[in-house]
Amino acid sequence: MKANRARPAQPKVTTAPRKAASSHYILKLYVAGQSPKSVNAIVNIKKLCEANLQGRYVLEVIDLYQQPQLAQGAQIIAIPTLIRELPSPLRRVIGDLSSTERVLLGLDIRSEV
Amino acid sequence: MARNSNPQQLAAENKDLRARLERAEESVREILSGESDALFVPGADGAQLFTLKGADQSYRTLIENMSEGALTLTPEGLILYANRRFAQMLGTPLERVIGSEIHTWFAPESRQVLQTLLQRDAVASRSEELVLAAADGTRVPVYLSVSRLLLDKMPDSICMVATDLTEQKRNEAILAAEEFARAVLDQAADAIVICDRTGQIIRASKQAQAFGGKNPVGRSFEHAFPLRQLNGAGFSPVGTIGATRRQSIEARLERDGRGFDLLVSVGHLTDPRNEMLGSVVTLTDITERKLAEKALRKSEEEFRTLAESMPQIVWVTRADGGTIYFNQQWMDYTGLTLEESLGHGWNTPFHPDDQKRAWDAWQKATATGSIYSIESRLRRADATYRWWLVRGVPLKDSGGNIVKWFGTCTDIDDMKVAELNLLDANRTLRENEISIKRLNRVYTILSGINTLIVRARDRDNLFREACQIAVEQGQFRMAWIGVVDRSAGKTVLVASAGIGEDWLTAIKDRISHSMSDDPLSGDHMAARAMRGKKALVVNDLRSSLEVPSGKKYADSGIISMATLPLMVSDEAIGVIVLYASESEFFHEEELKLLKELAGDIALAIDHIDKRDRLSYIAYYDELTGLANRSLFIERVAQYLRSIVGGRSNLAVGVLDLERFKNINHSLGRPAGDALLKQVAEWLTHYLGDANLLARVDADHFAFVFPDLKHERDVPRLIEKALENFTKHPFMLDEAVFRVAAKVGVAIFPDDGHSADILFRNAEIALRKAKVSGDRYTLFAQKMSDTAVLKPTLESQLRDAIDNEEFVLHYQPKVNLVSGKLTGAEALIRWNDPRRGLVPPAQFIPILEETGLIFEVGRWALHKAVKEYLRWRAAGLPAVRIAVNVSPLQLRNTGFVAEIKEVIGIDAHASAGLELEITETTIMKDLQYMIATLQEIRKLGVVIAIDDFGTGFSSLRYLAKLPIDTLKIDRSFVVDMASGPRGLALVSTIVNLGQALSLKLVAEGVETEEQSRLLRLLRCDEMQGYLYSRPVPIEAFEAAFLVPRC
Repeated sequence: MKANRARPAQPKVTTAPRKAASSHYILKLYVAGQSPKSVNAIVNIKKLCEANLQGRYVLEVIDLYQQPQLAQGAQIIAIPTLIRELPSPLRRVIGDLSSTERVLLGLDIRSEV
Repeated sequence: MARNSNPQQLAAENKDLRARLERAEESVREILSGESDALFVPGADGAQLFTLKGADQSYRTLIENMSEGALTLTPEGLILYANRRFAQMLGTPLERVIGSEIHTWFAPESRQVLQTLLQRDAVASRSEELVLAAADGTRVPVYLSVSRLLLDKMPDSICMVATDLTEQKRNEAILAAEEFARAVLDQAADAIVICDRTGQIIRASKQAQAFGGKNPVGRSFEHAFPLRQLNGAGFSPVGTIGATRRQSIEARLERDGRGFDLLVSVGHLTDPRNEMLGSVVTLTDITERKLAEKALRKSEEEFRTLAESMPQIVWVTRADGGTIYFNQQWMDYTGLTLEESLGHGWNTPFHPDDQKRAWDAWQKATATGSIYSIESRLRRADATYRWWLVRGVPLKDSGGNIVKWFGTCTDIDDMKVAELNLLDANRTLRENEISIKRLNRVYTILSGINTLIVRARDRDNLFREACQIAVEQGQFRMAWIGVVDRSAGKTVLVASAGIGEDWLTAIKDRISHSMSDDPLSGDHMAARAMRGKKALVVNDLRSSLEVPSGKKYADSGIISMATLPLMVSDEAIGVIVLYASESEFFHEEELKLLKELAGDIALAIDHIDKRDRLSYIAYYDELTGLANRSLFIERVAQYLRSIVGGRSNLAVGVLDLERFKNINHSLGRPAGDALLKQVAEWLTHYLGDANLLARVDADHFAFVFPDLKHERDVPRLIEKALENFTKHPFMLDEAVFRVAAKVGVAIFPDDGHSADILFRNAEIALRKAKVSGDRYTLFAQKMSDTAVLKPTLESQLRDAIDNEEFVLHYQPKVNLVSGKLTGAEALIRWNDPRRGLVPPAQFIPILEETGLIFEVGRWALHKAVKEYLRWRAAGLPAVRIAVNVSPLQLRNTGFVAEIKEVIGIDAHASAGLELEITETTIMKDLQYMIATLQEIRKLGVVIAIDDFGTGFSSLRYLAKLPIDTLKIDRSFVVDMASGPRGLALVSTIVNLGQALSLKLVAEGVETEEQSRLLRLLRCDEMQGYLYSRPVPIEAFEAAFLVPRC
């Protein structure tokens, strides 16, 4: 399928409006299929982003089983690992992200209301 | 952990850390190198064993590579796991899919179902057809299978398997389309061939099979349809790939010996992604069309050839009237070029006066779609105009709209000019019609009159009918004819038609009213017309001053009149007057004819008069007015017819006036005529009825007693009449004359049964009376031989001819000087066996009467000539023989021919013949005599005047006479010795004869003395008893024709 077809409807992929002032987060979560930690991590980060970064984030979940190539350069050892790519500097949080405080701290996310 | 330590401590910590790190790294390296696949990690609540990539690899691969999309999600809809296929279906990178909400990937209409599927209380797996929404909005139909996953230590998850139905749906669509297409194809009249993208035929309509032969499916298009394009190239639908528009090309296909012209149309089939699926080729059989095109071109060519060959101008225009074609004849005639003529240039040569008319006719024809036809003048190259018939026919399409006009122009100039001339002529004709009608009437009269003239019995008849013809056939209202009566001194109306009594009276009054005896005097129209000898016309009586009663006429509807004089020998004898009920009727033309009419009538009058006169003359004696011989005999015949059987008698008498001739001679002709008139009057008076009387000869009258009681009354009646007659004193110039008469009478029935015989016998009786001395003689009296003789004398004489009882005796003529024989006169004698020789006086009259004279005369001539020739032949000294000729013989027109015939027997015959004619006979019809005698003399025969001196020759005519000899009458010879006068007379005659170079012969010489005197007077010859009496031929010969020795 070519991408240059008419677009009848907009997909519900959220594209965060670019705001110079408010931070726009790009988060990448590296998981290993459906390992228990991976599953939890997905659930937890989702919950966290929705609660704290709603409308300001892009979350990518990379299944290293299916897309191992996407981990290159990212120095992933332990899984799951969450990387904050934006805003820089890079931040890393390892684990299933069940501790919300720890994640927030690790990602240096201040909730902006 | 924050610690306060010294640098040594720090260094030791650092070293320791490093060593721990190294151990860690080593472990990791070990792990990473794959030497170990599990980690044993001590933890607060015991050690945990972590297995790495391993036993579930095959299941993972299965899931990751299956053709369906697989995903795990939380009951809330968070996608915990998705495989690549699913991401592919959604057109989204996998990393975006995992961790996203499942709802976002479903089309709105499917979300409800989705929701139902995700509900907690659903235990068994369920399946639904739903529609996903890809990233770009594409709808992806999927078959979704949902089941709950119960994993230990894990919250509930839902598993989904999504099967992409797109292909299936597409195939379904294609299938449906195919079904449709097949149906269409089967129905299609055109040949439709569907090929795949390689040009192989996947479907063909029935019609296509007719072109492609058998079943073309599966074969390549070029193979099944070996088409040849116009440029010779083949055709394949594949070759047209990339063309953006649908193409139509002409190509030709040869199949089974037949050729088809086809229109090939190719369209491409593409899928929704614009990838070429195949092509649809339509083949339309345009063979017919091409043939039609060819036929059309041929027909156009034929049209052009025809158009160019026709003598007419041929043109074609568009519907708007602009010309698109002219044949050469147009250019030749108008001198225009084709360029100048096309479009609306055709209007140029039209005559200015005709252009509007032509345009209007065009408009009308165009509006009604009917034939355009107009006569118009077109200018020729030499700038003259000729008449043309321009004619056009519209060509319409199937909708009835005019597409073109086809037309011709035909030169009708000659015809048109003739037509225009004809119109002119017609106009003139019509104008003349009226005058012709008038003329016709007059012509009718003319022809009527002309027929009338031929048959008109008398004047009255002529006039009456002329008027009737004028009124009835000529349609004149009235007509009348008036005639001049000179004795009455006025003009008399003699006939009319169409006139009532009153008016007739009025007209009669007017024309008879004249001052003098001259009927031509007077003021009325008739008199004026006759005086002026010209027709007088009044063409409008209402306004005429000339005709006093003009108004009266007009009131009765009579408007014009013409008075025409009737002229005979330039003298007006009457008028004909015509009245017409039209005014202005009598114009030049009519008058000319009417004048002719009047002339004809005048001529007829004259003719009738002359005819009457002629018949008068034929039957009447002009002098006395009595009937003439012919009429008298007719009348007697009429009386005879009316005698009823034997009861009465009729007597015819002839009266002779004695010595009347003497009176004529002594007193002259007029006196004699006057006397005759008086005698006639007396006789008429005495007899009481002029019809009983006639003048039958110069001095003879005839009378008839038509109603005798008794025969014996006749003598008494005659005696009494004669007595009175002789006693009556006739007056001539105051001198009294008494006239004696002798009468001869014949009585019916004894003396004859017919008027002719009675009359003749009366004449005979008269002769007898004259001879005998009686006053009158009745025929019936048996008196003398001659009286007895006479009835049979004729027959005797006839016999005499037959029996040759006639002889010629010859009396010699001698020269007075020499005494020699110079000639001989032949005298007829009749040797009647009963009576002996009869002297001529006794039978010659009878011969003349009976017409036997001709025969006898002829005989005498022949005889004389024959004797002469005999004398010659015998060597005797032949002399010319003179034969007496009676006036009857001479008057016979064949006499000259007779002479010719007589002398024709011999060349010398004419030298032996002489004719003796009495002076009286010659003088009676001088001109005729001169001519006849001239003829005879030309023949060599000589002429002598006998008894000269006793006739009444005028000296002038004497000189003209073609004669040779004068024979002096015996009476003069006798008188010669009686006195000087007698001598002088003879001398004169001799001198006269000599002066005219005529020979002179004296007749009846009996004495020497006479002979001596004659000799003295120098007369040439003598004849008479002195020398010899007439003797028979033998005696003559013996005595006088002694041959000379």
